[in-house]
This record gives sequence, C-alpha cells and structure tokens, in this order.
Amino acid sequence: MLNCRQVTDRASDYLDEALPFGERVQMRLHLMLCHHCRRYLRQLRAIVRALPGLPKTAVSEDTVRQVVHRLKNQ
Amino acid sequence: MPNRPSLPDDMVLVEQLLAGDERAFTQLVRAYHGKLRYLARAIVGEAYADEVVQDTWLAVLKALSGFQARSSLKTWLFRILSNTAISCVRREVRSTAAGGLTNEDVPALPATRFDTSGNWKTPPLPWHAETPEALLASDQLRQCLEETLAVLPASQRMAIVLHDIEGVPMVEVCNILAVQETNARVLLHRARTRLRAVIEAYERGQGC
Ligand SMILES: [Zn+2]
Repeated sequence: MLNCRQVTDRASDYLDEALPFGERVQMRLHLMLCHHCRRYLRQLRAIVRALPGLPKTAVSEDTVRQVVHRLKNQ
Repeated sequence: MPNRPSLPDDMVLVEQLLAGDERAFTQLVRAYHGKLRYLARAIVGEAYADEVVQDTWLAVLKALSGFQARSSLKTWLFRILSNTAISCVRREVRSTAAGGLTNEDVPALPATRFDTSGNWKTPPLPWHAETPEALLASDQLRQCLEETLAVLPASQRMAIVLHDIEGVPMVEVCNILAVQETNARVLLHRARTRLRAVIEAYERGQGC
C-alpha cells in the first residue's frame, strides 16, 4: 500500500496516465481511502488544466504585418 | 477583432507557403508568432525573445521544403525555435535531470509535511479556487503562476510550457529537450509541484 508521501511523488505521472498498471491501481486504492490525497490531486490537476489559459499570446495585426514585411526583405 | 479563419491542414498550408503565398505566411505568423514569442521568452528571457523569434521565422522559411508531417507543424515550429535558442538550456537539462533520477528521488514536498510512516502531518487545506476556471479568474493567482514560471529553472520551464501550456506530446518534448522520458517527467513534476506550493502559500495568506 502506498503512503501519502509516495502518492504525492507519483501525482504528476498519475495525472498524465504515465504510471505502470500496478502503481495506477495502488494510487486509485489510496485515493479512495484518503481525502487529503484526493484534495492534493484535485489541486494539482486544477493547476495543470489552468495552464493553457495562462499566456496571452494574441498578437496585433500591426505586429503580424511587421514580421511578414521584415522577412520579405531578408 | 478581425475575422480569423482557422488554419488549413498542415500539409496544405506548407504547400501554399512553398508556393510563396504571402497570405498563407501571414496566417502562419498570426497563428504562431505569439506562441513562439512566449516560448522564446521562457528559454532566453524577455530581452532576447524578439531576436530569437525573428531568427526562428527565417530558419522556418529555409527549412520549409524539408517539412514532413511526422509531427504537427506547431511542434515542428517549436522545435526550430528551441534549436535556435536552446544549446545552453540543454546543457542545464542534462546536468539537472541526468543520472536516472525518478520522482521518488525528488520529493514533491518537504519531508516535514509527513509523519514517519509517510502519511500527512500537515495535509493540504481546501482552496477558494480549486478549479482551473477559478484559478484563471483571479488576476492575482494568474500573476502568481506567471511569476513562478518565470523563476523556474529553464529546463523545467520549457518542459511545462511545451507540455502543459502548448499541449506538445511527451515524445516531442523529449526530442526538443533531448532527454529521456523519465527525465522530462521529473522536470514536469518539479515544475507543477512548485506551482502548487505557490498557490497553497497564497491561499494561506502568505502571498506568492
Ligand atoms: Zn493519502
């Protein structure tokens, strides 16, 4: 049986479904029984899922024109 | 907001670009310039980001005829950007992530959070913002996350920007960083854990 510390060590790989089958099952078992670790996973997952919304990468049409213009003249 | 038609299929777009279609190139720049700049900033910092992106576009034009749809165009662009900027970062990746470390060798949390049997002594407390939407809705939390990303080691920052922010598949992240999957996962694990710890501190009123 995994303890809580081992669960936090595996949390990131668990979210990515990158754990071997046996460890994934042990994680599920632990999470069924431990609400602290469930909360830990929930918080970590929320952050990972929030990340794509973080950067504001839209560029202005002016920038687009400038980049295209500069490259045309190279 | 001008109308922004979605990009055509990668191969179609590449053919248009090879034919010298300026509209296609404008579309490409519009779709990716901001993303490339964000990643460039993650690798080389604000001061050199524009230069690196400009060099990347030049390299893209040169390499275009060699594009094969083995990866998505987006991943291919990121790889060219990384190659343009990365040699120093790769050295750091190798030195910090080498040696077959696993996530158990890199504790996610300080040992003092657990008792001797490895169970929580100081368990995580509930947060006000425990969903992605709630986290992003708060300007302060967004800022905490951005600031923490900015101070991560470059290798961790690249791993998390590529994988979690841009959705680049793990196998491509490994190619770009030139590391084994185990090492890339260690980098992601450390970066995510640090972000969680920062939000936790913020939620406890300790600022970020
Ligand atoms: Zn637990």
